[in-house]
This record gives sequence, structure tokens and C-alpha cells, in this order.
Amino acid sequence: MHTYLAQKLIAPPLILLLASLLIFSAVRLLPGDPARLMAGMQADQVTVESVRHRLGFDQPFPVQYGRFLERALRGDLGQSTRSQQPVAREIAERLPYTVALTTVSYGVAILFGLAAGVLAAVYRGSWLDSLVMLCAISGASVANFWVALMAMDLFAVKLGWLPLMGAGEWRSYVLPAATLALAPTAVIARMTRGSMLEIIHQDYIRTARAKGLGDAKVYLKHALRNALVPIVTIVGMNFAALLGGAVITESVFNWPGVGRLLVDAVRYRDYPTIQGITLITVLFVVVINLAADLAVGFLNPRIRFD
Amino acid sequence: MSKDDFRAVFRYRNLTIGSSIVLILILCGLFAPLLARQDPYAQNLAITFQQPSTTHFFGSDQYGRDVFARIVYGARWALFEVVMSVGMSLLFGVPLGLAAGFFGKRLDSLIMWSTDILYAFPGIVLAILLVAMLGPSLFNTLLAISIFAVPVYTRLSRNLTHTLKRMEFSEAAYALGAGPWRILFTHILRNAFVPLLIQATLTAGDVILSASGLSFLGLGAQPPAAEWGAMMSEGRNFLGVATHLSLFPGLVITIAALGFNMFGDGLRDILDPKFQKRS
Repeated sequence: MHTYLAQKLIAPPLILLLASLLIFSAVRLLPGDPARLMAGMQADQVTVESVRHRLGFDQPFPVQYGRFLERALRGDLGQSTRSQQPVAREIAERLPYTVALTTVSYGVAILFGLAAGVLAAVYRGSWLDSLVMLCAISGASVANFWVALMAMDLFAVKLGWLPLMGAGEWRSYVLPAATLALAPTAVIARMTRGSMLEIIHQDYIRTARAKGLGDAKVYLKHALRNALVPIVTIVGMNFAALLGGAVITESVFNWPGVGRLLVDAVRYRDYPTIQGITLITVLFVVVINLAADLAVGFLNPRIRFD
Repeated sequence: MSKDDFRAVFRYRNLTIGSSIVLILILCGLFAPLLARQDPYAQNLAITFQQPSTTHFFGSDQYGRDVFARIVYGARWALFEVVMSVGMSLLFGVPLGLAAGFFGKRLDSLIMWSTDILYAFPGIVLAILLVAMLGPSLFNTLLAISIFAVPVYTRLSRNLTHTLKRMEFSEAAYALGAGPWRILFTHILRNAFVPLLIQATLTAGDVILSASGLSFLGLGAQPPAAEWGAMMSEGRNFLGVATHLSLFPGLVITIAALGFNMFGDGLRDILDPKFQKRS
């Protein structure tokens, strides 16, 4: 178990380090003056020079990267060229909204995806199975920004049941969370069905039945627990896609999260903010994937003792 | 059509529906001027915001342009996005995967580590980072989308190469004196073609969704392009007044992505014995 833990804990910091190098290099590889880009296109020459000195653009590349890393570790992600606020503070203000939206969406997706996948596998070949599979393939293909606009038009503009935009009381979560949950629900439902179908024909399931256990106990306690390993992996891997979806969903619903901040930053060519948000997003993805890897080890002793 | 033919069509439902949608998309792209009689870019301010009718099947937009014509011509943009993006991903991803799988050791570790780093970025976020650096345009968006799809092809071709190079036909070729390049290109790549084709078809649906999503955010194709995502970006300002401006482009984006996904699924059902048994 300790070896498994050690193996899993080595990769994430290295990936983060290399991803930070990639993000840092992206701005430096641009044609033109990086100090001008970081200071903003409207900044005067004095400001550009002060940014050049402050951020160390007059230093060699490894020194610049070292300083960037050191500041990032202290929580200093630079200053937004648009609002002149520290990027870390701007992200911290918006992050709770994105975390709340993605948590609700992923919760809904896991719940509905697992239920639909288990039902489809148990009633394999029935109309329910066909319906779940049809919804799963449609859910993975649907343009979530289109669903968002159509849902806004129907439920907010025409019927007036739900708020059109922004974040506030629980009703404001319904449309963005449901839109964002569509694709992951489809993926989880498909994976659960496939995984359950492989498990429910195994000998130990037959044994459990022969011992007289009821369907619910056989499917939920014996089959689902063993089917969970690939599902947890997919849940972890899909978190990145969910964060990507949040960028578009937040923009459509004017949700005051990090995704909308990123799109606004791109519009204003606010490079320190783009750099900061990308770094934080990668950190989240790496941590969630690590959590999924550890959960898989916990669920399947064969993996952690291999 | 005989009974058996019908059965085959039903059995390969995904392939039949998916390939039909893809075929319609290709035909729309090829014969757009014949299908849409109106110019997709011609403005007529006398007929703005027309509702769908027999004259304008999908209505008209804020400049009086025919939405149906723009959607039909939009098929060309969608196909261009798919060909360019999937092509670039294959061009970068497959050689890297072949090299990693065939030569192994340090090169394998280096390439696989690089793909792991790209996997840590949510696709859209990586694309936005690159588009922000390179500037908003359809080409830059497609380049960005292809970069985030590269790890998928690298991993797949690396794993396939790993398996295929140990197969008897590769060993026989080696024993007969074939060099590594010959084994790679004539034996391994040829046998890896089908799984790569399936993956390319499955990725095509994602390309349409990502490219139109980025155009919707104003980072891809720019107005007045008759690109479906850009059309929705313009149409969202008239929600409630002219919902058809968002409804039809979004619907065709979804149908096109669904078509490619079903086509890919169907191909996998037929060509991959592992999936044939399970489904």
C-alpha cells in the first residue's frame, strides 16, 4: 500500500511543475515584448519598463521561471492588467462560484449516471436499456451552450420559472447545473452499464444469488462495488472536461465564476489572469485525478498490492 | 431489400444512422449552392427577423440573411474543421505514438510524460490559452483543438505499436531483414489503421462541439462567417425575439456531432470483436 501511495504521489507534483513551465513559456514564446503584453497594450513606456524589471524579463529564462514559481508558491500570481487587482485575489473571489456549480453538476451527474447505468445493465435489451443508451449517446453529442440557450429561452424568458442569469438562490443553480451535468451523466451512464455487464456474469455474483440474496443486495453491494473501479477512473478523468464545460456554461449564464473570468481575460488580453487561471485549473485537475487514483486503490486491493 | 438486409441495418443501427448523417453533411457541403438558392451572406434589411416560412425555411437573421442558406453553407465550415483538426492531431500524435511504442525506453517515457502533462489541461482551457496567445481566428482555434487531441492519438498508437511489434508477422519481417522503418510503416501502421480510424471518427464529433463552442465564445470563426457556433453567438442576443437564430444552428451542431459519434460507435461495433461480443 505504501509503495502504491508513493508511486501515485510522485507524479502529480512533477506534472504540475512541467505544466507550469508550459504555461509560463506560452507567454514568452509570443512574438513581441512579453513585458508589453503583461503590462497591457495601453500602458506607457515607464509602466512597461517597471513591469519588465518587477517580473524579471531582463533576467535569463531559468531565473525568470524560478521567480515565477517562487511567487506562485507564495500565492502571488501577478497583477491583472484589466482591473489592476492581484490575480490570486480575483480568482479567490470567483472560485467559490465555480466550485459550487461544478460540485452540484457532478453530484447530479454521478447520481443519475450511476442509476441509469445500473438499470440499463440489469434490464439489458429492454426498452429501458435502449432509452438509456439513446440518452447517453445524445447527451455526449449535444452542444451544451445550445441546450443552455434553449433552456433559458423556455424556462426563464417564456415561462419565467427560473432566473435568466447570475448566481443567487438555489433556483439560479438549476439551469446551469443541469446543462453542465448533461455530458458527464451520459459518460458515467455508459461506463456504468458496460462495467456492470462485465461483472454481473461473474461466478461470485452467481454465488451471491445462490445464497439467496435479493436483487438489490446482489446488484448494489456485490456488483456495483466491483464495477466502481473503472467508473471512478472515468469520473476522475472527466473532471477536466467538466471544468472545460464550465467555462462555456458560465459565459452563457453570466455566472460569476472563474470560467467567465477566463473568457473576459481573453477578450481584454489580460495575460497574467489567463496564466493564473490556467495554472489553478491544472492544479484542480491533478488533485482530482490523484483523489480518483487513491479511491481506485482503496476500492480494489489488487491494484494497490500489484 | 431482403429480410436479412433489414436485420443487418437494425443490428448496425448506430452505423446506419451515423453514416447517413455524415453522408448528408458531406452532400450539403459539396452541393450547398444547389440546396440553398439564396446567398448566405446577402443582406436585406427589409426582411430582418422573419420567422420560418416556405420562403425562408429557418427564417432570417438581424441582417435579413437566410438562416437555412447559412446553415447549409455552414456544413462546409464543419467539414473543414473536422478534416483540419483531426488531420493535424493524427499528423502530430501518430508518429509520436509509433516512436514511443516501437523504440521504447527513455523515448517512450519522455513522450508519455509529455502526453500526461497535456492531459492535465482541460481541453477547452488549453485551447483558450493557445488562442489567447495566437489571437482569435478559426485556424488558431483548430490548431489548439488538434493539440489537445494529440495525446489521445499518441497513447492509442503507442499502445497498438507495443502490442503489434510483438506479433508474429512483425517478428517474421524482422527475421527476414526488414528495417525498423519498414516494420513500422508497412506492418504496424497498416494494422493500427482501423483503431485509429475509429478514434478519428469519434474525435470528429468532439471537434465540431469544441470548434463551434469556441466560435460561440467569439474565439474561433468570426462574423459574418456562416459557421454554426458563430451564428449562435450572434443569435444569442435575440433570444426570446428570434429564438430560431439559436435554435437551428445549435440543432445541426448536435445532429452533426451525434452523427460522427454514432458512426464511430458503429464502426467499433463492427470492427472491434471485443465490443461485438459485449453489445
